Amino acid sequence: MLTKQPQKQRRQRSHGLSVTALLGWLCASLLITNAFAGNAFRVDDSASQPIAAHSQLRWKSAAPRGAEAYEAEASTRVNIKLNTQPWIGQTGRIYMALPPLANARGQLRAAWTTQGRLQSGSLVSGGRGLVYQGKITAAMLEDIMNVKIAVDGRLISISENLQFYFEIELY
Amino acid sequence: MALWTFACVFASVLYVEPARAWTLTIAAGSRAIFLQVGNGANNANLGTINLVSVTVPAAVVGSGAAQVMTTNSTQANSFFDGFNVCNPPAQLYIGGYFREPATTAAVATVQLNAPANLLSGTDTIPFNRISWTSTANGNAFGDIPAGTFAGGTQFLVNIASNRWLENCHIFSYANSAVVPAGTFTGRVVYTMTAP
Repeated sequence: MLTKQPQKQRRQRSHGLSVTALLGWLCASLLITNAFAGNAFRVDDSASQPIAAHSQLRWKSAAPRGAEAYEAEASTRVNIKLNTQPWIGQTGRIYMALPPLANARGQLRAAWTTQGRLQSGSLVSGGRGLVYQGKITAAMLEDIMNVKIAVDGRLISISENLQFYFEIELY
Repeated sequence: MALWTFACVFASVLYVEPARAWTLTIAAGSRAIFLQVGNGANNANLGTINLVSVTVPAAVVGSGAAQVMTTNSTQANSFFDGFNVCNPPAQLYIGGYFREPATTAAVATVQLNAPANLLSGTDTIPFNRISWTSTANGNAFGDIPAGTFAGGTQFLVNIASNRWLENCHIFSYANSAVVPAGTFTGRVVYTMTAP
Protein backbone atom coordinates (compact mmCIF):
# COMPACT_ATOMS: atom_id res chain seq x y z
CA MET A 1 0.00 0.00 0.00
CA LEU A 2 2.79 2.33 0.83
CA THR A 3 4.36 1.84 -2.52
CA LYS A 4 1.21 2.46 -4.51
CA GLN A 5 0.65 6.01 -3.47
CA PRO A 6 3.85 7.38 -5.02
CA GLN A 7 3.05 5.50 -8.22
CA LYS A 8 -0.35 7.17 -8.37
CA GLN A 9 1.24 10.50 -7.72
CA ARG A 10 3.74 9.86 -10.47
CA ARG A 11 0.97 8.89 -12.84
CA GLN A 12 -0.91 12.04 -12.00
CA ARG A 13 2.20 14.10 -12.40
CA SER A 14 2.96 12.44 -15.66
CA HIS A 15 -0.58 12.98 -16.87
CA GLY A 16 -0.45 16.60 -15.73
CA LEU A 17 2.73 17.23 -17.61
CA SER A 18 1.21 15.89 -20.83
CA VAL A 19 -1.75 18.22 -20.55
CA THR A 20 0.51 21.09 -19.71
CA ALA A 21 2.73 20.36 -22.65
CA LEU A 22 -0.25 20.12 -24.93
CA LEU A 23 -1.64 23.41 -23.70
CA GLY A 24 1.72 24.97 -24.10
CA TRP A 25 2.00 23.71 -27.62
CA LEU A 26 -1.48 24.98 -28.45
CA CYS A 27 -0.70 28.29 -26.86
CA ALA A 28 2.51 28.68 -28.80
CA SER A 29 0.81 27.62 -32.02
CA LEU A 30 -1.96 30.10 -31.46
CA LEU A 31 0.47 32.90 -30.88
CA ILE A 32 2.49 31.97 -33.90
CA THR A 33 -0.63 31.75 -36.01
CA ASN A 34 -1.88 35.10 -34.81
CA ALA A 35 1.31 37.01 -35.05
CA PHE A 36 3.27 35.53 -37.87
CA ALA A 37 0.79 33.93 -40.26
CA GLY A 38 2.18 33.89 -43.78
CA ASN A 39 5.23 35.81 -42.60
CA ALA A 40 3.05 38.92 -42.57
CA PHE A 41 3.04 41.17 -39.56
CA ARG A 42 0.43 43.75 -38.84
CA VAL A 43 1.95 47.23 -38.73
CA ASP A 44 0.84 49.61 -36.04
CA ASP A 45 -0.72 52.57 -37.83
CA SER A 46 -2.59 53.90 -34.83
CA ALA A 47 -0.98 57.29 -35.31
CA SER A 48 -2.38 57.64 -38.83
CA GLN A 49 -5.23 60.09 -39.21
CA PRO A 50 -7.48 60.87 -42.17
CA ILE A 51 -8.20 64.57 -42.65
CA ALA A 52 -11.84 63.61 -43.11
CA ALA A 53 -13.09 60.33 -41.73
CA HIS A 54 -16.44 60.62 -43.49
CA SER A 55 -17.12 61.12 -47.16
CA GLN A 56 -20.26 60.88 -49.23
CA LEU A 57 -20.07 59.08 -52.52
CA ARG A 58 -20.52 61.37 -55.49
CA TRP A 59 -21.79 60.03 -58.79
CA LYS A 60 -19.07 60.40 -61.36
CA SER A 61 -21.73 61.11 -63.93
CA ALA A 62 -24.87 62.83 -62.75
CA ALA A 63 -26.96 60.94 -65.25
CA PRO A 64 -26.86 57.14 -65.31
CA ARG A 65 -25.57 56.89 -68.83
CA GLY A 66 -22.35 55.93 -70.55
CA ALA A 67 -19.36 53.91 -69.46
CA GLU A 68 -19.26 55.55 -66.04
CA ALA A 69 -22.99 55.48 -65.52
CA TYR A 70 -22.89 53.85 -62.11
CA GLU A 71 -19.48 54.82 -60.85
CA ALA A 72 -19.36 56.77 -57.62
CA GLU A 73 -16.36 58.33 -55.95
CA ALA A 74 -15.21 59.52 -52.57
CA SER A 75 -11.88 60.85 -51.48
CA THR A 76 -9.88 61.82 -48.46
CA ARG A 77 -6.37 62.71 -47.41
CA VAL A 78 -4.61 60.69 -44.77
CA ASN A 79 -1.55 61.43 -42.67
CA ILE A 80 0.04 58.01 -42.64
CA LYS A 81 2.31 57.11 -39.75
CA LEU A 82 3.56 53.54 -39.66
CA ASN A 83 5.42 52.29 -36.64
CA THR A 84 8.23 50.30 -38.20
CA GLN A 85 10.39 50.22 -35.09
CA PRO A 86 10.19 46.41 -34.74
CA TRP A 87 11.70 45.86 -38.18
CA ILE A 88 14.50 48.41 -38.35
CA GLY A 89 17.39 46.98 -40.30
CA GLN A 90 15.27 44.35 -41.97
CA THR A 91 14.05 44.29 -45.54
CA GLY A 92 10.44 43.83 -46.45
CA ARG A 93 7.36 44.89 -48.28
CA ILE A 94 4.58 46.90 -46.65
CA TYR A 95 1.07 46.68 -48.00
CA MET A 96 -2.07 48.64 -47.33
CA ALA A 97 -5.02 46.29 -47.14
CA LEU A 98 -8.78 46.56 -46.95
CA PRO A 99 -11.16 43.80 -45.84
CA PRO A 100 -14.13 42.89 -48.05
CA LEU A 101 -17.09 45.24 -47.85
CA ALA A 102 -19.25 44.48 -44.86
CA ASN A 103 -22.59 45.65 -46.16
CA ALA A 104 -22.38 45.22 -49.90
CA ARG A 105 -21.58 42.65 -52.50
CA GLY A 106 -18.95 43.47 -55.04
CA GLN A 107 -15.69 45.27 -54.75
CA LEU A 108 -14.51 48.76 -54.11
CA ARG A 109 -11.35 50.22 -55.57
CA ALA A 110 -9.02 52.50 -53.67
CA ALA A 111 -6.21 54.32 -55.42
CA TRP A 112 -3.78 56.62 -53.73
CA THR A 113 -0.98 58.99 -54.45
CA THR A 114 1.72 59.95 -52.00
CA GLN A 115 4.43 62.50 -51.56
CA GLY A 116 7.12 59.94 -52.26
CA ARG A 117 8.05 58.30 -48.98
CA LEU A 118 5.48 55.62 -49.67
CA GLN A 119 4.50 54.34 -53.09
CA SER A 120 1.38 55.32 -54.96
CA GLY A 121 -0.82 52.39 -55.79
CA SER A 122 -4.23 50.84 -55.65
CA LEU A 123 -6.16 47.95 -54.20
CA VAL A 124 -9.58 46.40 -54.28
CA SER A 125 -11.52 45.55 -51.17
CA GLY A 126 -10.54 42.15 -49.91
CA GLY A 127 -7.02 42.72 -51.20
CA ARG A 128 -3.97 44.83 -50.67
CA GLY A 129 -1.59 47.14 -52.49
CA LEU A 130 2.12 47.73 -52.08
CA VAL A 131 3.14 50.96 -50.36
CA TYR A 132 6.77 50.28 -49.51
CA GLN A 133 9.52 47.85 -50.28
CA GLY A 134 13.11 47.84 -49.20
CA LYS A 135 15.12 48.14 -46.03
CA ILE A 136 13.42 49.56 -42.99
CA THR A 137 15.67 52.36 -41.86
CA ALA A 138 13.46 54.41 -39.60
CA ALA A 139 11.23 53.79 -36.66
CA MET A 140 8.36 55.63 -38.32
CA LEU A 141 7.34 55.73 -41.97
CA GLU A 142 5.33 58.85 -42.65
CA ASP A 143 3.64 60.22 -45.72
CA ILE A 144 0.47 61.93 -46.85
CA MET A 145 -1.86 59.88 -48.98
CA ASN A 146 -4.54 61.26 -51.23
CA VAL A 147 -6.97 58.40 -51.45
CA LYS A 148 -9.71 58.13 -54.02
CA ILE A 149 -12.44 55.55 -53.64
CA ALA A 150 -14.33 54.29 -56.68
CA VAL A 151 -17.23 51.88 -56.53
CA ASP A 152 -20.41 50.97 -58.33
CA GLY A 153 -22.65 53.39 -56.47
CA ARG A 154 -25.60 51.07 -56.75
CA LEU A 155 -23.85 48.68 -54.37
CA ILE A 156 -23.52 51.12 -51.51
CA SER A 157 -27.00 51.76 -50.23
CA ILE A 158 -25.99 52.22 -46.60
CA SER A 159 -22.83 53.62 -45.08
CA GLU A 160 -19.76 51.46 -45.24
CA ASN A 161 -16.92 51.73 -42.77
CA LEU A 162 -13.65 51.07 -44.56
CA GLN A 163 -11.03 49.82 -42.13
CA PHE A 164 -7.73 50.05 -43.87
CA TYR A 165 -4.71 48.47 -42.27
CA PHE A 166 -1.06 47.78 -43.05
CA GLU A 167 0.99 44.65 -42.97
CA ILE A 168 4.63 43.91 -43.60
CA GLU A 169 6.26 40.88 -45.15
CA LEU A 170 9.95 40.37 -44.54
CA TYR A 171 12.25 38.81 -47.04
CA MET B 1 0.13 23.38 -15.41
CA ALA B 2 -0.53 26.63 -13.60
CA LEU B 3 2.76 27.90 -14.84
CA TRP B 4 1.93 27.07 -18.45
CA THR B 5 -1.47 28.62 -18.14
CA PHE B 6 0.08 31.75 -16.77
CA ALA B 7 2.66 31.74 -19.53
CA CYS B 8 0.02 31.33 -22.17
CA VAL B 9 -2.09 34.13 -20.83
CA PHE B 10 0.94 36.31 -20.38
CA ALA B 11 2.13 35.65 -23.88
CA SER B 12 -1.34 36.35 -25.24
CA VAL B 13 -1.36 39.62 -23.43
CA LEU B 14 2.00 40.41 -24.93
CA TYR B 15 0.61 39.91 -28.42
CA VAL B 16 -1.74 42.81 -28.99
CA GLU B 17 -3.07 43.38 -32.47
CA PRO B 18 -1.94 46.82 -33.57
CA ALA B 19 -4.70 49.38 -33.58
CA ARG B 20 -6.34 50.32 -36.86
CA ALA B 21 -6.58 54.07 -36.94
CA TRP B 22 -7.06 54.67 -40.62
CA THR B 23 -10.71 54.30 -41.37
CA LEU B 24 -13.05 56.04 -43.75
CA THR B 25 -16.81 55.90 -43.62
CA ILE B 26 -18.42 56.37 -46.98
CA ALA B 27 -22.06 57.30 -47.25
CA ALA B 28 -24.27 56.23 -50.13
CA GLY B 29 -24.54 58.43 -53.21
CA SER B 30 -27.51 60.73 -53.41
CA ARG B 31 -30.86 59.93 -54.98
CA ALA B 32 -31.85 62.22 -57.80
CA ILE B 33 -34.41 62.72 -60.49
CA PHE B 34 -33.97 65.14 -63.34
CA LEU B 35 -36.28 66.15 -66.13
CA GLN B 36 -35.63 68.59 -68.92
CA VAL B 37 -38.23 69.76 -71.41
CA GLY B 38 -36.98 72.15 -74.05
CA ASN B 39 -34.03 74.37 -73.18
CA GLY B 40 -32.10 73.40 -70.09
CA ALA B 41 -28.76 72.41 -68.68
CA ASN B 42 -27.41 69.38 -66.92
CA ASN B 43 -28.79 69.27 -63.38
CA ALA B 44 -29.74 72.92 -63.53
CA ASN B 45 -33.06 74.20 -62.31
CA LEU B 46 -33.96 76.74 -64.96
CA GLY B 47 -37.11 78.77 -65.30
CA THR B 48 -37.17 78.62 -69.06
CA ILE B 49 -40.60 77.90 -70.53
CA ASN B 50 -40.50 77.14 -74.22
CA LEU B 51 -43.26 77.98 -76.65
CA VAL B 52 -44.78 75.59 -79.17
CA SER B 53 -46.90 77.37 -81.73
CA VAL B 54 -48.48 77.38 -85.14
CA THR B 55 -50.11 80.05 -87.22
CA VAL B 56 -52.91 78.58 -89.29
CA PRO B 57 -53.37 80.31 -92.63
CA ALA B 58 -56.85 81.75 -92.91
CA ALA B 59 -57.51 79.77 -96.07
CA VAL B 60 -57.15 76.43 -94.32
CA VAL B 61 -58.66 77.13 -90.92
CA GLY B 62 -60.76 74.14 -89.94
CA SER B 63 -59.93 72.26 -93.12
CA GLY B 64 -58.75 69.18 -91.29
CA ALA B 65 -55.28 69.57 -92.70
CA ALA B 66 -53.08 69.05 -89.66
CA GLN B 67 -50.67 71.88 -89.00
CA VAL B 68 -47.20 70.98 -87.84
CA MET B 69 -46.19 73.19 -84.96
CA THR B 70 -42.82 74.70 -84.27
CA THR B 71 -40.99 75.61 -81.09
CA ASN B 72 -38.74 78.34 -79.83
CA SER B 73 -36.49 75.71 -78.30
CA THR B 74 -32.86 75.69 -79.31
CA GLN B 75 -32.03 72.52 -77.43
CA ALA B 76 -30.47 70.27 -80.05
CA ASN B 77 -27.92 68.38 -77.99
CA SER B 78 -28.31 65.93 -75.19
CA PHE B 79 -27.46 67.68 -71.95
CA PHE B 80 -25.51 64.65 -70.91
CA ASP B 81 -23.06 63.92 -73.67
CA GLY B 82 -23.66 66.67 -76.19
CA PHE B 83 -24.99 64.26 -78.78
CA ASN B 84 -27.14 66.01 -81.39
CA VAL B 85 -30.36 64.31 -80.45
CA CYS B 86 -33.02 66.80 -81.62
CA ASN B 87 -33.58 69.11 -84.55
CA PRO B 88 -35.06 72.34 -83.24
CA PRO B 89 -37.13 74.32 -83.82
CA ALA B 90 -39.35 71.52 -85.17
CA GLN B 91 -38.53 69.21 -82.28
CA LEU B 92 -38.78 69.76 -78.57
CA TYR B 93 -36.23 67.98 -76.43
CA ILE B 94 -37.46 65.94 -73.47
CA GLY B 95 -35.18 63.82 -71.31
CA GLY B 96 -34.55 62.76 -67.76
CA TYR B 97 -33.12 60.21 -65.41
CA PHE B 98 -33.75 58.47 -62.13
CA ARG B 99 -30.68 57.97 -59.98
CA GLU B 100 -30.49 56.04 -56.72
CA PRO B 101 -27.75 54.25 -54.77
CA ALA B 102 -29.32 50.86 -55.26
CA THR B 103 -30.95 48.81 -57.94
CA THR B 104 -34.60 48.56 -57.07
CA ALA B 105 -37.89 47.99 -58.79
CA ALA B 106 -38.84 51.59 -58.10
CA VAL B 107 -39.58 53.80 -61.09
CA ALA B 108 -39.76 57.51 -61.63
CA THR B 109 -42.93 58.57 -63.38
CA VAL B 110 -43.09 61.30 -65.98
CA GLN B 111 -46.46 62.92 -66.40
CA LEU B 112 -47.88 66.03 -67.95
CA ASN B 113 -50.77 68.20 -67.05
CA ALA B 114 -52.64 70.22 -69.65
CA PRO B 115 -55.74 72.35 -69.30
CA ALA B 116 -58.90 71.25 -71.06
CA ASN B 117 -58.74 74.10 -73.53
CA LEU B 118 -56.50 76.61 -75.16
CA LEU B 119 -57.92 80.04 -74.47
CA SER B 120 -58.27 83.27 -76.40
CA GLY B 121 -60.37 85.46 -74.18
CA THR B 122 -63.57 83.49 -73.89
CA ASP B 123 -62.93 81.50 -77.06
CA THR B 124 -61.56 78.01 -76.67
CA ILE B 125 -59.90 75.22 -78.59
CA PRO B 126 -59.89 71.80 -76.96
CA PHE B 127 -56.36 70.84 -76.02
CA ASN B 128 -56.97 67.39 -77.47
CA ARG B 129 -56.53 68.87 -80.93
CA ILE B 130 -52.82 68.91 -80.28
CA SER B 131 -50.83 65.71 -80.48
CA TRP B 132 -47.21 64.80 -80.79
CA THR B 133 -44.93 62.21 -82.28
CA SER B 134 -41.69 61.03 -80.72
CA THR B 135 -38.30 60.40 -82.24
CA ALA B 136 -34.62 61.20 -81.83
CA ASN B 137 -31.51 61.27 -83.95
CA GLY B 138 -29.98 57.86 -83.58
CA ASN B 139 -33.06 56.45 -81.92
CA ALA B 140 -36.26 56.75 -83.88
CA PHE B 141 -38.16 54.72 -81.32
CA GLY B 142 -40.29 56.83 -79.06
CA ASP B 143 -39.03 55.93 -75.60
CA ILE B 144 -41.10 58.81 -74.32
CA PRO B 145 -44.06 57.93 -76.47
CA ALA B 146 -46.30 59.84 -78.83
CA GLY B 147 -49.70 60.96 -77.65
CA THR B 148 -52.49 63.49 -77.67
CA PHE B 149 -53.25 65.99 -74.95
CA ALA B 150 -56.42 65.00 -73.17
CA GLY B 151 -56.79 67.80 -70.66
CA GLY B 152 -55.76 66.95 -67.13
CA THR B 153 -52.94 64.74 -65.94
CA GLN B 154 -51.55 62.17 -68.35
CA PHE B 155 -49.00 59.48 -67.84
CA LEU B 156 -46.07 59.68 -70.22
CA VAL B 157 -43.47 57.12 -69.22
CA ASN B 158 -41.81 55.34 -66.34
CA ILE B 159 -38.05 55.57 -65.96
CA ALA B 160 -36.49 52.62 -64.19
CA SER B 161 -33.97 52.82 -61.40
CA ASN B 162 -30.67 54.22 -62.63
CA ARG B 163 -31.91 54.66 -66.16
CA TRP B 164 -32.06 57.52 -68.56
CA LEU B 165 -34.42 58.40 -71.41
CA GLU B 166 -34.53 61.18 -73.96
CA ASN B 167 -36.55 61.92 -77.05
CA CYS B 168 -37.74 64.73 -79.26
CA HIS B 169 -41.41 65.56 -79.60
CA ILE B 170 -42.95 67.03 -82.73
CA PHE B 171 -46.31 68.69 -82.16
CA SER B 172 -49.21 68.95 -84.51
CA TYR B 173 -52.50 70.85 -84.42
CA ALA B 174 -55.42 68.87 -85.84
CA ASN B 175 -57.13 71.91 -87.33
CA SER B 176 -60.35 69.96 -87.42
CA ALA B 177 -62.79 72.77 -86.70
CA VAL B 178 -63.28 76.41 -87.53
CA VAL B 179 -62.44 78.61 -84.59
CA PRO B 180 -62.64 82.36 -84.09
CA ALA B 181 -59.60 84.37 -85.00
CA GLY B 182 -57.25 84.94 -82.12
CA THR B 183 -54.19 83.75 -80.26
CA PHE B 184 -55.05 80.67 -78.24
CA THR B 185 -52.71 79.71 -75.45
CA GLY B 186 -52.40 77.13 -72.75
CA ARG B 187 -49.56 75.80 -70.62
CA VAL B 188 -48.55 72.19 -70.31
CA VAL B 189 -46.56 71.25 -67.22
CA TYR B 190 -44.35 68.19 -67.20
CA THR B 191 -43.50 66.57 -63.92
CA MET B 192 -41.39 63.70 -62.73
CA THR B 193 -41.84 61.95 -59.42
CA ALA B 194 -40.15 59.04 -57.67
CA PRO B 195 -41.11 57.17 -54.52
